[in-house]
Amino acid sequence: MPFAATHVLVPMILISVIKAHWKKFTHKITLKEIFVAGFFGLLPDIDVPVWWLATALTGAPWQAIHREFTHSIIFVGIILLAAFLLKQKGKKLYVMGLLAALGYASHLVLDFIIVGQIKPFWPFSSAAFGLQLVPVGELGVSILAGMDALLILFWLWHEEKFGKIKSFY
Amino acid sequence: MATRRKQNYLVPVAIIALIVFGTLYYAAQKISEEDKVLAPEVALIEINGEIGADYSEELAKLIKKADKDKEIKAIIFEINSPGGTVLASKEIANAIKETKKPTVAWIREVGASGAYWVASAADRIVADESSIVGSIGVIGSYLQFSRLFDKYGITYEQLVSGRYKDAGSPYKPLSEDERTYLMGKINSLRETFVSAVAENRNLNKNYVNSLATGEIFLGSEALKLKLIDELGGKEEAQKAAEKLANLKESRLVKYETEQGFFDLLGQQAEAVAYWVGRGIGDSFAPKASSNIEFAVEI
Repeated sequence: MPFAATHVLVPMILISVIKAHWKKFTHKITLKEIFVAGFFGLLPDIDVPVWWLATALTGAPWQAIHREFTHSIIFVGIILLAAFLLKQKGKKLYVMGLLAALGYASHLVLDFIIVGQIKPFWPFSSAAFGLQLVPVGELGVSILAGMDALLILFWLWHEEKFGKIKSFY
Repeated sequence: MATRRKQNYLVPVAIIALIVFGTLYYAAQKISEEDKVLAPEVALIEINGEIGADYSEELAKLIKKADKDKEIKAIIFEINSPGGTVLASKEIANAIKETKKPTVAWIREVGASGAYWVASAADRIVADESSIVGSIGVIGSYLQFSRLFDKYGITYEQLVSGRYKDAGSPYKPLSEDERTYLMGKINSLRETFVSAVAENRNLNKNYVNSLATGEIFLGSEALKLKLIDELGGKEEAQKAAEKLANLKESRLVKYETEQGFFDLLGQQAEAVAYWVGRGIGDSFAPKASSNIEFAVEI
């Protein structure tokens, strides 16, 4: 799977790119919103610590459930639904919901493209999909590490180029 | 204002909680699905080599563990042992008898003497037609070196407070009185052994007594003598366990003593020390052991 850092980085970079190039998007993104996007970008992998804890606390032979339940697009739908319901309460909450959904969806897309298989249509279908473009093993780890470095470099370049880097300081 | 803020946090927290608890529920469902698919478990416990006190303690714990395990519906003991000490064999046999689950003893190459005592405690015994079974009896024989010592001018100075205190010492000849005394103990142990087998196998004590000559029997002979219940191997043992536990099918789960990191480390250190010691010893000592004392084995 991509590193945890990748899952946090990607939605944060996506927000920067959208903000810079989508003129209709006039909302001023706050650090809190970026944090929410990053957090929800990592959230689908909560099945890993939940499994560790359940195994450690109960001693039962829990089956590994990584990239199954939490990697369904149904949760993107639930977050989007919550965002629309919160729209009437204020634009901030609505945008935060949208960014959270973006973070969550980016995780599923990354996992789908990079490594392993996800069950995106659970509970309607248990079919697993994945392009598995990065090989498993040492080479794969090197590629993923390199990918993180490239992402950060791209982000810095992008922020410098479009003059937004100062907004982070 | 503060209440509104709290409400704002409520939604993301609810979503995270939904995902966490959903994951737990999903994992729990998967466990039960696995349980539905997989056949009930039958524990397989190996009893190998000479049966000693340390081994019997570990085995008894393992048997209790399997007995308490709700997933285990029956226990099969895979026996390949020539026997061991009286106490250790008795301890294992008692642990088997105390189990609340159906038990099957599956004798492979050898299930003789103390190992047969252990096997007899199971509800059913399965052995191959060429397995070695039986050898009901007690042995206390030992090497006696007094004449060898005479040759080298070594004398044994007897300093004992009781006349039987050094009975069975390898450094002096056994007197008739001591022989009678030790044979009395051996016969008493034999009596216990015979009684246990008779009770466990639901056989007449006199009948078992007539078989308790220390004779070994092949599986096919042991079946005729009612020392085992059926001929067969692993499959037959499993089927016997299924029948006793009213199961249509089962899967064998090997039960072994868990070894921690330090156990493994200790074993390695012991092995190294043994080979170093043996190497040094070999360069000095003659091949025969010189420290054997009287001990009874079955």
